[in-house]
Amino acid sequence: MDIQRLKGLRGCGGAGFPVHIKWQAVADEATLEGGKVIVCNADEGEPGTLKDGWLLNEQPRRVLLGMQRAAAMVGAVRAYVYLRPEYTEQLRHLQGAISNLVEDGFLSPGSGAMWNGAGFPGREVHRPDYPLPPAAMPQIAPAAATGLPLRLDIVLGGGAYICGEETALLESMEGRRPQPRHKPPYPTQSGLWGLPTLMNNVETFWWAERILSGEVDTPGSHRLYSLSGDVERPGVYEAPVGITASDLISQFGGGVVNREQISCWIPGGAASGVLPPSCLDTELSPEGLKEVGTSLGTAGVVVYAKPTQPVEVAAEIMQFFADESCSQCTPCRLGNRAFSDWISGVHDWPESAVTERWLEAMELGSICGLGFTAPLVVRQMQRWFSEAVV
Amino acid sequence: MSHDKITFNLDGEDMQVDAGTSLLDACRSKGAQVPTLCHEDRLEPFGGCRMCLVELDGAPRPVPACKTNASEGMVVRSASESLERVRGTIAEMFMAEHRPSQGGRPNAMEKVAKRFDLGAPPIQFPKRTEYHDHNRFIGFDTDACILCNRCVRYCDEIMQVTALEHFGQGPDAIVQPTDGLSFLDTSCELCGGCVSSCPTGALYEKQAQGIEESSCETTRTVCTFCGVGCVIDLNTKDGNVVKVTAEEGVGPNDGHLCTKGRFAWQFIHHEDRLSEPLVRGDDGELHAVSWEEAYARVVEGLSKVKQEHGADSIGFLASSRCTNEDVYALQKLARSVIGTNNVHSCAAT
Amino acid sequence: MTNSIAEIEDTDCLFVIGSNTTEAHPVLALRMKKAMRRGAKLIVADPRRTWLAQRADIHLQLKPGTDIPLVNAMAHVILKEGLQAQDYIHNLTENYEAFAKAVGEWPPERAAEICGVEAEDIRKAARAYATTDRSGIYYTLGITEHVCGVDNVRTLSNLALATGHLGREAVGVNPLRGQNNVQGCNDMGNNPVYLPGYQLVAEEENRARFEKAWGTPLSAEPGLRLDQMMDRMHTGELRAFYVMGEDPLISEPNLAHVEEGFDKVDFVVSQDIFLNETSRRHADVVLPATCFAEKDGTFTNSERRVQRVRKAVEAPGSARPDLEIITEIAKRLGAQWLPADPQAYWDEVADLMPKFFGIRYDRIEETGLQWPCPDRDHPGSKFLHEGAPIRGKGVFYGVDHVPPWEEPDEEYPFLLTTGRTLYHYNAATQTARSDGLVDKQESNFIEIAPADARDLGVSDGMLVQVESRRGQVDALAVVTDRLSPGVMWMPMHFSAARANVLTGDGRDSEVGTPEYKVTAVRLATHGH
Repeated sequence: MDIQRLKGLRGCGGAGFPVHIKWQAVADEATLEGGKVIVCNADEGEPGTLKDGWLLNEQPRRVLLGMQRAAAMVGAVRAYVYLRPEYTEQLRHLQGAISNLVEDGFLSPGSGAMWNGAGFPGREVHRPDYPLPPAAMPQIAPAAATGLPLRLDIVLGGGAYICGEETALLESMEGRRPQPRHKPPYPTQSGLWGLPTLMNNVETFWWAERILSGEVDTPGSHRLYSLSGDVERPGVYEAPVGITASDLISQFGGGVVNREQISCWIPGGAASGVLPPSCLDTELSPEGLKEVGTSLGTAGVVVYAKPTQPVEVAAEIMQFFADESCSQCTPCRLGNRAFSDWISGVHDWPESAVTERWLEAMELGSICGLGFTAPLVVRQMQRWFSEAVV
Repeated sequence: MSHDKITFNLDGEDMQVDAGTSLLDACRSKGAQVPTLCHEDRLEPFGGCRMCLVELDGAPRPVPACKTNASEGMVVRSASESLERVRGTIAEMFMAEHRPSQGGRPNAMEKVAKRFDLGAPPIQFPKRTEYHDHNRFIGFDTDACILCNRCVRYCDEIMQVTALEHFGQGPDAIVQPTDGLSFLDTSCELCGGCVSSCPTGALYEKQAQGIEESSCETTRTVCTFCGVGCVIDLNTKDGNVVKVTAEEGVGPNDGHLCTKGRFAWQFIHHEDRLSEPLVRGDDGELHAVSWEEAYARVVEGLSKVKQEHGADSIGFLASSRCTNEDVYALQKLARSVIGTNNVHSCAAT
Repeated sequence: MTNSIAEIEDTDCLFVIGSNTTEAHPVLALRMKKAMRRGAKLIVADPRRTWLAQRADIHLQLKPGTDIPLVNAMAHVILKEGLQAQDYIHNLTENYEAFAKAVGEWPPERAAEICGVEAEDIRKAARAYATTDRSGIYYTLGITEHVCGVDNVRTLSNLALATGHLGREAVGVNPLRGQNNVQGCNDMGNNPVYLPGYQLVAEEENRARFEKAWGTPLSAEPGLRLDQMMDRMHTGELRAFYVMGEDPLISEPNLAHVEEGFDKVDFVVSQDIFLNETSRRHADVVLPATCFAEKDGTFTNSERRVQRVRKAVEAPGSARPDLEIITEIAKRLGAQWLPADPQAYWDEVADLMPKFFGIRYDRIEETGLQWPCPDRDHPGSKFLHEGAPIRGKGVFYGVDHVPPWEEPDEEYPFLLTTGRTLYHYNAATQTARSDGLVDKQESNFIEIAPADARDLGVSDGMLVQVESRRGQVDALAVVTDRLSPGVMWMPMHFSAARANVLTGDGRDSEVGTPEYKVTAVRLATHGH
């Protein structure tokens, strides 16, 4: 029943999956030895997105309470926050909130243990010297069937973009190279250590808490927008889903110096691609952005003023994807690399039939969202800035 | 292990397989040609190369046949225009990076490229850093590596020594001995399993470098070291052993070998090998003689002792390294010709 | 092995005792690794923390030479806790009472004290072994190379009989043979008491069969074991010695004593592929033989599988196959033998051995066959003792502890045990000729526990002198926590530092296998 109250809320990590369906799926799974698991994905890595970090600084208790409610509703007995390792301030706030919740009886004593998730060998990650991931599922004190009090620990991320992909995140937590798993099975069926796992983004748990506590009664009506780039007041703003970018910029961001100077903008994090100024009056909603070929993603709005060229922005994004590809599957590893080189002019573009085939191979052949959504950046360039690409 | 049967539809025909059968195995059993690069039957499915993508009704995009098990009611197509195009494009991506090694090693990557009739790739990525190592067995041509991870997985799953790693990510991703050390300084046991699992010849046997594999003859025999009895193929060229290989699915070893079995064959052609009979002269030194002289000396020596001290004053020691026929003959010599049961071997187990 | 190598991967509890499988039988160990990956339990009894021991669920790090107390105590736990296979014992075994009585005297606490392990670990190991349906025992020279080698094996056989872990797939008592054809060499009657096919030479009807086939009368007098031959060299009773493919001057224990013996022998023939210590110093005639790559024939592996060996290259110079050499000598000594064709000789011996009768070259072209294989349609035997032990009833033995021949004392305070490494093989005549292997392991070394090293002032990499009552060798110190204090370990491969200069005269009283595994030694740092 309670889970249905979340209807309307969509995941805020980028993919926008209906939250109540995911929670129900985990609730419906049988409980294995070891119990069910809640994971809060706090590995905020999407360029142009900063709302999770802001939330963890400002309202960590509410995020944790959202996790705690989720655990009670799906029957989970252990929970983890997988935190971006650069978020040292957030870590402090989280730890404080955890010890308060332990005192208040919401979390079990001992909560707040730490370990470092695995990253890519060869990539330096700056983080405190916490233990390596456990070789096997750690034992926790037997919990009541309700999952109360919940055991909640923190894992510091592996320091790579792909660690934010839910199954790569699980691999990192288990101590392996953070490469996405093949789905199915989905984490809801077989996640951390093979247990049914409910994973949501920081903001999602925050909204869930606000909805379930009765503070918000229109799930999904608002989002936290990360507004950055060439605006007067960059920051994180709660605003309605469906607000136009123009309004967001003017009402919340204090406006751009000169609207005629906008070169291009990003609606929902780097993976949502680059749009022209002509689209600034598009509604920032799944439906509105679909019309212009993209999605709301993480609701990370980035505004670029001239003289920055759209192709420079796109090249930077493709370079980022190429560098951050986990290198497990070929289309993502080599496709992103090629488009990065082509779009930045390191190599000459081949004929359009070839780029079309390569985009198709990435879209159909990649293992995870990094590989199969990266072509969107190229396709948006082809649609809106065709003079700059092939 | 379940023996339940699954019925699903492959390429328009209903097909029954055991539960747990991968779509790849199902395709193969039906004769459907699905290309693979990262797959090896002895290893757990990986699904990284994406060559074996097949279409599955209801799935948002094609699925890797190696990593997807057949399930009841599935409708699968192993070939279509789109699949052919996607697989061909992925092969083209590989060829933008892969530089075939010289040295006559079979290269599955080149075969796949040929199968898709690929021309020059639309982009050529820069060469990788060369890898030099002073171990004498295993060489690594980094530019031929396609990151299929077969070697890494062999080392993890089968040898379980984790002496190779998939290092880094993105364009810098490479396979290397763990921590970038020499093969001699990691937990590597120099079994060469990585070489045997490499589809492109990127990992290769230094001892056989430059020898065209197709020009070798092979003779199937049994390893001469421990008592496991690994079935091996001696690869010979111009009358010399140049390499030892083993075939998957054959013998107690199922295609696996250890460092001795795979690499330690130099003794066969070693200059220290005895090539002529020797007889100790009055000077106390051993001198080369003809076989006739040697045989005469043996017969004379044995006969004399037997005559003077009896058959039981002669002892025979057989080696557990010789063939059954050799050692049978030796004990027969002792028992039926000399007339003594004084025959033993170093049999401790 | 009672069972097959491939079955190991289906075993759910592996009891590995006295076997450093990943180094001595690396490819067989892959099956163990596969079972472990599947979740099989692993119990390792070994004085060293070997690769397997490090990954074992239970590592029983026993003092060398205390296997009987350990295994008896496991049996004690099994009986005490009622974990035995009552029906199997009742229907298919005999002499149970003697066994029960013997192990009754070995509660885990008593064994724990002697073995230097935790009593609770013995209990855990016993329970794991007994209560897992597919439990197999795997052992090698760590069990047999003791004064009580035969008794050690009997305790293991007791364990399998008591739990009924015999006569099925993925169970059994499985000695892993050290050399490519140890099994075949035994099968073929290279034994002073057995004719080919384990037929006692003392029994007249056996002799009669061979006499008829060979066309000559045979001696009924059991012959001498190798250790007895070595002794009779000293007494002048053994005057000629024919050695084929062996180097007793590196492989036998107490080498100084062996050397003296050889000095007294009138006539020595060495047939080999290399000059070795024995031929260089003592042979009157050295006959150059072919190696495995240069001849046809068969080897029989640990799982009793007879497999084809095939000629791939020509032998160097005028070297000849062993079979041909022996045939030529027999001919010159007046015997009428078949020409030296391996297949003809195999047929000759297979005709004489009922258990091998069905194995013929034409049947093993593709895949070898496992004996027993009594007729030409028989598929061979994956495992032995199906339904019931081969001899009808399995015999229990009451076995008591036999201390090693030599134990550490004040003068020689450390217990040295010896073994093989991955990178070399036996006397290293072959592996030392592989530069790539020598890179990995160049010379002799001795493993020393950190506490002992500290006490002795020895550091890692230091050259030390290892002395026993019989001799001394040099070795580089390897300080490692693989060993418990008081125990040291040395490989037996290096001709420049022969470990067997140190080993003593202890031998199994029944089969004469030397006690390579226990020697009392002391250490001196070099030059002092």
